Amino acid sequence: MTFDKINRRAHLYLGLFLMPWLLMYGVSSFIIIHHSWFPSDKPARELLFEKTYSRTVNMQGANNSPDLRATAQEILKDCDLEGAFWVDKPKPDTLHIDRFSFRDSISLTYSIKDQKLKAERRARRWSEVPIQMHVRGGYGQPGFWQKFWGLLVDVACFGIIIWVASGLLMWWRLPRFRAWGAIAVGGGILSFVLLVWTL
Amino acid sequence: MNALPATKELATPATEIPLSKISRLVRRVHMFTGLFLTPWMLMYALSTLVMAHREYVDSFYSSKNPALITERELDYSRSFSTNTPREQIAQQILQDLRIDGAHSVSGGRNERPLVIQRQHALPQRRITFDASKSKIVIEKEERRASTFLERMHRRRGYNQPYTLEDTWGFTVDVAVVTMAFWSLSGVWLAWEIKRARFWGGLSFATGLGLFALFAALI
Repeated sequence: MTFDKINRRAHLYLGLFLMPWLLMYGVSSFIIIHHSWFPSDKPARELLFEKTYSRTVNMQGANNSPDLRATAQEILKDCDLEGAFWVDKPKPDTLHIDRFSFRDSISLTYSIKDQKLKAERRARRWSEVPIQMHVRGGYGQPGFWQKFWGLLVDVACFGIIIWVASGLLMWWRLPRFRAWGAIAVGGGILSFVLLVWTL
Repeated sequence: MNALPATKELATPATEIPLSKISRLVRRVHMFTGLFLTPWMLMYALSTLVMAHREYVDSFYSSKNPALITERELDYSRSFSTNTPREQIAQQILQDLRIDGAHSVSGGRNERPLVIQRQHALPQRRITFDASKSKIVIEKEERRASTFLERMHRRRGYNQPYTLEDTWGFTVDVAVVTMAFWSLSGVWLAWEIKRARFWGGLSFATGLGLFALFAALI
């Protein structure tokens, strides 16, 4: 197998494998840019439970600090709701955990003073789902699948860089398109640089 | 000498039937849009990596945020009536300084200085107007590749009353529509290469399966 063929096949197979991610980034970017075209009202929250709960919480840390996250993770484990989350302190005696997934968001509010834990779920609108996928990346959230998603986002990024490199090479191997291709590449670089320079 | 097989495969499908005009057009549009949008795609890929690995990237710098370096300090004698909206004051200051463009405004109330963040791509500037001293301080942000990439990634256009912003927004729209086109045309072009159907189908099914699994799991 020649290098050219490996290059073409890498471009093709990588493209087919990463197609759902590319489509998701395209659709979600469109929704983000034109957010006013999409409904902004949020579906109502449904109460999952409200119960008496007791746990010692060190409220010294900043929002989403490692200490606070460790406590939040314990609370989520107690409620069998482990997964990706964000934790903050809306009041000095209240801990709020946003346990989020692509499909929904569960809001847990723990009142330290009243020793009460309340959980409410809100389903996401269809237009929120691709945005949630778009903004998720990295390895900061607990759990194997969360980290695997982070890995796939990295793969998508390197995939795009490989597409660019392999695409340029494929174009260069087509002598009759060199001139028009050079105009396309040059035009793109020039437009980009000009916009960046003036923006 | 290696150019011949590549040309042959790209120009003729494995079925040995000459490409239809539409297929040829799709192939060309796929290639030329890819070549034109190379800088945008590289910027989005690199900036996503920067954001996904923020802590690692930050470890290369001495501070979390880029330092602000004072560029100019000047007297500013124009006065504004107390009921002038701060957005209007900011716009007037930017016009007077000849650096009008996309910006955000904060402060300027309760006798606090008005702070304008002028959103230059290279580099961002902070303009502080202290009405009580009739002074303006212009600070320039230290250049950082990571900050530049992240800022360009987040910039979406259309949300400021400037043609340049709309132009940027339009290029992002073009990139978005083209991404969808690359995906769909890629499947079609792959289908035309008979010898690549099996592995192509497997790549496509694996990607789609994994994506669906994640959509359901997390």
